[in-house]
Amino acid sequence: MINSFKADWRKLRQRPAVWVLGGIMLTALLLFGYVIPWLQLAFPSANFRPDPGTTLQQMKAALYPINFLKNSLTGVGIIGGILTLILGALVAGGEFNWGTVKTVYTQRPGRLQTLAGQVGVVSVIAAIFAVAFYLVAAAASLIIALSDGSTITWPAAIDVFKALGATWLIFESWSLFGIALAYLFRQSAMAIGIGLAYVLAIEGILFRLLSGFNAGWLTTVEKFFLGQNANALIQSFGHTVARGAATAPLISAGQAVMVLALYAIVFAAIASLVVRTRDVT
Amino acid sequence: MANGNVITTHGLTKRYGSSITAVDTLDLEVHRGEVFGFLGPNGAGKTTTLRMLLGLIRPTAGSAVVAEHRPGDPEGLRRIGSLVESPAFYPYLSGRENLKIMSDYAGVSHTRVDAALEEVDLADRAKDRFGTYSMGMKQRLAVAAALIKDPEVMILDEPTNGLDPQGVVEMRALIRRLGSGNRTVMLSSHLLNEVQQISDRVAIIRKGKLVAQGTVHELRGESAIVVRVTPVDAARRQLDRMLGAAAVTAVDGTLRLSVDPNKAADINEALVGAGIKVSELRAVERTLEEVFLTLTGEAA
Repeated sequence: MINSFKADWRKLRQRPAVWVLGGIMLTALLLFGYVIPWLQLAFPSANFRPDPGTTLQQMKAALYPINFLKNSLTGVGIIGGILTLILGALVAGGEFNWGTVKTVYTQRPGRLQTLAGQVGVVSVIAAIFAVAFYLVAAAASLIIALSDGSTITWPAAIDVFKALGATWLIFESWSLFGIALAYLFRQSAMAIGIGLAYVLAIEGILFRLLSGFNAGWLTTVEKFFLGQNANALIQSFGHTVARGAATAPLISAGQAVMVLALYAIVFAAIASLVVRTRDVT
Repeated sequence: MANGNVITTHGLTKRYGSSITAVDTLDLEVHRGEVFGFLGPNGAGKTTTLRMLLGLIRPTAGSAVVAEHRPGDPEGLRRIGSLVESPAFYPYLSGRENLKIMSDYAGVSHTRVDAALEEVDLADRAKDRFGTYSMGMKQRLAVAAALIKDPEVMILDEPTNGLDPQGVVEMRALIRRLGSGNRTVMLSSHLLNEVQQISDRVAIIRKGKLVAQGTVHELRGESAIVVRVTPVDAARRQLDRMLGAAAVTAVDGTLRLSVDPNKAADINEALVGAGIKVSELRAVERTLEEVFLTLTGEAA
């Protein structure tokens, strides 16, 4: 396990695709979470109107350090999830694309130890992504607050740790989804394609179809979709600006954490089963 | 391994579905310290067999023991170096980094990496990315990856595939070096001349079944001398007296003599001394290729 982890860490820390994905995530965070909103608010066009029930100042305050957790997570969290799905698919699928799976399996570690090392390194990279995500968000919010001459107030440390943990869990469950798909399809392209189709279309379509039925058990089923739970966990951190009367969420934060953890375990189990039983041809 | 076998298979079988039998009840024995050639036409089941020995493919039936362990056992793999079909490494990493990764997986020190690169004459290109390597360099890096474990068994599947003539010569010399001492090398190849030159024993399979196994000498059979003489009857009487009737056979106007080719000069002297005209006298030995083509039914 330790040997596999060392090997995968050496391999992935030098793989450009890993850091390109991280760079895309941070660029998206900066652009969509801070730069574009700040430009809209700092230099409003003639047609600009604040969101109903809010003021321009309230909307600016959403970009300040006190809100950096909520703003970055609710604004760009789902993009991070998608990118970590691609990360998982690339890491596992690349071994099939290059044929290195047979080279690795004929070294010393067993197949499951190899998988464990791979999952371990992806988990560490997901954690690095999560930390980098909030470091960049904090830095961007600080710069904006300083440029506006606003007082600097940070969220409580416990909230920062909760957000880090939640973000890592979301990234972890999506990356394991990508890994499981790559082992099932023995390639990264199909895994990424199916994964993106699920995230962007399939779950939404299923959710809408099931919502049309009025059966209690279907409502229960809806609470167990991966994307729904990831979104529920993101939304549980609240919004930077209150918009109308709050409605009770379909899925609580506690349940979302449990379901996402369960998904991570199930995806790891699927990958283990495939790795253990399939021939390498 | 008390019996001196490093690799043993008993009834090793691999079926795909109900209609395809890639390997059929294969019994193999590879002795410690020998270079063992594993031959067969395309699709005969060589690669499937080697993959089963490495634990990449699970057999449908039968068993195998490699380096005292079942195939795929981590402790067994620690003692086996392998190259299966085309060499596969990470194209964005250098040769040296690729070997460090493989040594991490194998649980051996990085200090062996440079020695392995030297062994395969790749030290001067070790910093270059694997993706920029020629086919010959890729093959040599794969051998280096097998060597970092200092394995007692090496399983090489078509190690000369895709190499130019110079590369084939270099690989042949490398395999010879690898096979010296106590290390056991099992290699499959299409290049029968190569196998004949470097193997101690060979096995030939056809349609998944073992059709022959033994030393190269055993498989090639006895060597002989062919003479074309006039008159044939007088020559035959002379040779019957000299060698015994059982050693002389008439074949298409020539006489085939089942004797050591080193006796050619003595035979020539005796025939000429008896007034017999010798128009042709040559040693004949079956090549491994002829044996292979006969046994696999691929002769024209």
